[in-house]
Order: sequence, then C-alpha cells, then structure tokens
Amino acid sequence: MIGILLIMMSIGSAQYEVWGTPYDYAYLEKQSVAIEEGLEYWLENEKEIKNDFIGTHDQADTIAVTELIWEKSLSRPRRIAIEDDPALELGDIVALPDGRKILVTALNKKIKRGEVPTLIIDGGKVMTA
Amino acid sequence: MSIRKIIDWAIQETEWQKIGNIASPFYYYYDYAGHWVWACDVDLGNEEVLRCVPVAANNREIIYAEQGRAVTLSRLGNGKWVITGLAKSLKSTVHFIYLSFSDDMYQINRKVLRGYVIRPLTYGELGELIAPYGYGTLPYGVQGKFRADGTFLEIVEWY
Repeated sequence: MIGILLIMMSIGSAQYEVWGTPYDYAYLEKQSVAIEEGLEYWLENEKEIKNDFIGTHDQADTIAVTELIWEKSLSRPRRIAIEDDPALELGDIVALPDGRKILVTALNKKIKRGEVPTLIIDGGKVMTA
Repeated sequence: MSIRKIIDWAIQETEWQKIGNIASPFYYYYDYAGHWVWACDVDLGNEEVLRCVPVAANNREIIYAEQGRAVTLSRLGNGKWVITGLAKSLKSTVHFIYLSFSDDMYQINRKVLRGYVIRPLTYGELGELIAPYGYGTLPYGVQGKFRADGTFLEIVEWY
C-alpha cells in the first residue's frame, strides 16, 4: 500500500520554472494643485501629499483645496482666554459673539487653589466659502 | 531668465530617472555609436515629444510594449536618455485650482487642466486638419498630440 502511494506521489509531482516578470497595469496618477491666485514664486511654500487611495480627479481636487485652506487657517493664529469649559476639545470650532470663528488646535489651563481656572485657546481662523 | 527657471533647469539636469509613456511604435535607429538599436518616441509630459529614445541593451523587462505604456527612462553618463524598464505609474493631466483669500473667506477663482494627451485623430480631424486638401491626405490611425483643453499641437507619427 505504502509502495503504491509513494509511486502515485512521484508520478503526481513535478518541478515548474516560471520565466519572465509578472505583468501588471500602470497606475494613472491624478494630480491636483491648489494654489493662491497671484502668488510670486518666492512666496510659494509647496507641500506634497501622495496617497494611493485617491481614485479620481474630483477627490484629489477636494483634498488639495481643503489642505490649502487648512494651511491658510493655521497661518492666521488666534488666542483667546475664557472661563474654563471642560466640554471643549481639540478640533472644535468656537464661535465668538461678533461672528468670528476659531478652530481649536491647543488648549491650556492653569489650575490654582482659590482661583477660577482660565482656559487659553490657541487656534486658527476658520475660512468660509 | 529668472532665477527660478535657472534653478528648475539645474534640478532637471541632475535627474537620473524619469517616467514617460511610449508615443510611437518601435523602430530601428542608427545611434551615435554606430549601432542599429531599437528605439521609439517617448512622451515625458512636456510640449515636445522626446524622439529616438533607444531601449537599453540587456533589458529583459521590455519584451512587449505598446503605445501609451508607461516606461522608466534612465540617463546615461553622456546625458542621453534610454528606456530601462516598465513603470508602475503613469503621469496624467494636472488640475490647477486657483483660490483667493480675503479676511476669513476663500473663493475658488478658476480651475485649469494642464498636460498633454496623445490619441489617434478622429475622422473629423483627419478631414479638417490639412485645410485645402481635406480627407484622405492623412492615413487612418495617425496619432496627434493635444493639450488637455483639446487644442491640437502636432502629429506625433504615422506608419
């Protein structure tokens, strides 16, 4: 029985050699550039983002515009001091009574005995369309 | 010439690898060293197609490549480009989005599509391109280079 099995094994086995390189399609790169109008070349500060999961030009457009607005927002830093509010988190948008909006990027507070804690909010100005 | 252009040019000169796509069928080309080699035209995304780019010797990767395939180009010591393999990605047209910012507002002013497309000419274009002669002057399958907005630039090749 074992002899028969061994013969079957040897008949059924073979060694294969695959030549050549695997064939694959090339990926088409979708590129979008969001830039401020009328910028001098020496004012340019380029940031490149690459992502394999961006499929269409529309998606790339949205990401490029959002990133530019984000950078622009961070370039206009704002700091406000308010009475402590534990509900605030990073990434929140604080609306001031005069209509201005500030995106929270950092929160600081000093807690001292006998004092009302003051919350220092650092952030950038929110841009709207 | 601005400093920017000089810097861009200097960066370009130091590049040793590029990605392009094949813009013509392969043909025999008598190179500067006096050898007959396989070559083809390669589109690098610039206005001009790079002509007569030889396929590097001892290249085992390119067994078959057709028009539009992405290839990698390497620069030899003498500054000439050769095709050294197949590329994993291919550059496409580029969207430029111009925005303007005021106090706390942004506005998308315009979107411009830049880049070049190589494709066979349509029947209509074959009939209209060479104005006084009309249809029949250019053969079927002739390839044309167009700007992303559809403006015709040049005829790349024909058989």
